[in-house]
Amino acid sequence: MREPQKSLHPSAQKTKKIVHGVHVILAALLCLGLGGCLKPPPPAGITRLQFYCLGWLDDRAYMMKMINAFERENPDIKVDLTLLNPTMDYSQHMQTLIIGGVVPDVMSVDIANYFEWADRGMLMDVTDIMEGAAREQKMTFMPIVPDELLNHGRYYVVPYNMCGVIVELNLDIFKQAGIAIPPPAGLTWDWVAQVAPRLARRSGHPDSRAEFFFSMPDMTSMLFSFGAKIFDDPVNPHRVLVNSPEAAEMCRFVRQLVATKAVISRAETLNPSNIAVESMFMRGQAAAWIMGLFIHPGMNGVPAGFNWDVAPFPAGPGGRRVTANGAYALGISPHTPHAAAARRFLRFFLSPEGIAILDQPGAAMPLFRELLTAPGIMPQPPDPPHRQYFVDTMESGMCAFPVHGPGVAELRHIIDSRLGQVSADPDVPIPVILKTLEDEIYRWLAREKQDGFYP
Amino acid sequence: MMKPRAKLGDLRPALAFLTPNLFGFLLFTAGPVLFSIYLSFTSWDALRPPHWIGLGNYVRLLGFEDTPQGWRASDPDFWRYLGNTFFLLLTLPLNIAGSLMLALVLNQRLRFQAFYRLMYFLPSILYGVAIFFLWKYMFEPNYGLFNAILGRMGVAPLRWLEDPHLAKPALIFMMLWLTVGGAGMIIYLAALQTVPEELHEAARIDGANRWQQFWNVTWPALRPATFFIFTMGLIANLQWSFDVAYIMTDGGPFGSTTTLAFYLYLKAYRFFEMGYASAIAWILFFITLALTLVQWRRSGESTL
Repeated sequence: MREPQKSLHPSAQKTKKIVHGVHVILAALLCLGLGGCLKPPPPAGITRLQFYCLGWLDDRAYMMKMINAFERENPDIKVDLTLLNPTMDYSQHMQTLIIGGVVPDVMSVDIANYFEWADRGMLMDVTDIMEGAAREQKMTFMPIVPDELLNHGRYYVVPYNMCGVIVELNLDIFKQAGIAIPPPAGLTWDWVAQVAPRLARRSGHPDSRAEFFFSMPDMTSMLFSFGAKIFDDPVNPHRVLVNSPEAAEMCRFVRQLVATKAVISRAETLNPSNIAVESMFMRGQAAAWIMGLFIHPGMNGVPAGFNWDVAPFPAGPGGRRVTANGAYALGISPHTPHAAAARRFLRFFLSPEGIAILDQPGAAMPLFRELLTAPGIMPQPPDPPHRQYFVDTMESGMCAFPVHGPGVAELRHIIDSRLGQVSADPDVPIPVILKTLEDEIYRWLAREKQDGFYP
Repeated sequence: MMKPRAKLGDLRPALAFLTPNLFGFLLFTAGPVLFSIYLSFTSWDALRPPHWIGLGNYVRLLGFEDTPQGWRASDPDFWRYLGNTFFLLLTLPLNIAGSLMLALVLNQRLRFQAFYRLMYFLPSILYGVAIFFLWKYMFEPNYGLFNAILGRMGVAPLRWLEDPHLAKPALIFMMLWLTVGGAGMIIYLAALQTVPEELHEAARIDGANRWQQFWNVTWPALRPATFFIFTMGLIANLQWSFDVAYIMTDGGPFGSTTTLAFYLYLKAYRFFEMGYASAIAWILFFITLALTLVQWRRSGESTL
């Protein structure tokens, strides 16, 4: 028989009340949390697309224009835009979401991870959208599009903004030093070596307006422009060719140039918030700046009276012209339950209506030759006199991509990091650096092969 | 029969308070730890299902292979970054020495003693991303504060974080500024209060000078505090290097400030090698454990 319960001691009663209170608070917090996570279901017949977009705040305006126009044309689809700042390790952000099973339907793809994501099954094949758009509009993609984005003959992203890096020049600084722009023999590394020390206060020219000539570009582009190769075949690499006379020449050149103190070394450039090179250029503290228009809304608002021009990425001794290219592109998750709606959304980016919005000044570089070469289409007010160079970076053979396959991000990290040693550690002999780099790239290749890539 | 019921009744409030924490611990700490053990035996790129490779990751990390150029490490980067990690551990003895010196000074009867204690303790409160950025700008080679000061003294500017030979010492210098006046100093200050004054008095009567008093009386009395500071510092130092490397140098120049903690991050989140990164994490754990046990054993021997 159950014994009658004794009445609790007042302190125990108080504890009991506290425990109940804690339970109530926890339950309320749980409900609030769950409530916050739940979104009201879309009205019947409406598909809601989650769209994660890589972009600066400046990009939001035209991206919202795109979405609004798309939604007007497709009233059965709503697009929820989440804009992610390019400085915030976008790829990691996305990968974390994917591991957690929270994948947006449509997402920006960082070009450094494009092949990685495509080959690991993270992106849907959108070749039909790309080919369909070109066919329907009777236009041709600039060569950079297939050069950079074709993966085993298929497209896994729809690009909407692409361009290579070029050199932007502060003409007043060159004029003050009596240096003709454009250079009579074109822009070459030899020319840079001659004029850079004359223009930089740091090289012992106190009268010059500029502290530096420019900051060193990525080492892969440098290697290519000097005629060096990284692999025998960038699509199916077997042999590493980076330990070559051309690469050694490039290293010697970089070491000498950095020693003049006229340029910002790669180690400093890689340390991103050390020097805001863009603002130095705009303030006239750097004579030139290497950057691509595609990630470059800042130059659309150049101050009145800023006298500038553009020049191609410097050519090496063999006269080879290459450039690092970049792209803003969108992909579809293969796990999306709204594949059809997502495909319509991507198709809209290449439709005449979508292109009309993207071609607004300051938005994006057109990808079709017919649009890019049309008068007044370049999104660059005020126009630099030689704006044609922006277009040139998108021609065939200009793409300096270390390899066409997975692991590009790591490979670039290896190359940039090891070749950074050329200027940061002048005591280490160049053959030693190149041999180490060769070994590192072979190890990288072996790992990738082990993972089932590059058969 | 009543007794167990009463005990159960007592347990309920305790369980009610403990459950949320326990749940959180199991879900967010114990679970991932156990999962990472499993992952360290797999090859997992986070995008496709992991596949079991046994000790493959550990062999790659710690193994050596026969090449035409002779035997060499399967992953030379691991050994290089392990070296960086140990180099940066130099912060620890310097921190202990600095904390002790500060504590000894601030233990004297000084005017504005509380103010000095606060001033020295302040950096350790400010510790974090904002401070790392501040120091990054101070180390900036062209416009940074340190080179401006050196310039006034006629010294050529130094590439603090861009020179592979300078980057690690620069980071150690910054970490010392951040930590010397921190928890170590406070613990030493507290420990100094417990040293019996009679021992000092006896030493003085025996003719010991100030150094002899310190070495034979104060220092042995501070041994438990030193052991605690060393052990906690060791664990923290093996881990702190991640945020510093991430914010200030991104592991550069060419890996000279990449530590095992940062290497782990690179492998996991930039290069899609979650399994390998998990193996690095466990190696780092065993290094920490081994060093702590060695220190523990030495401390036990010296107190016997």
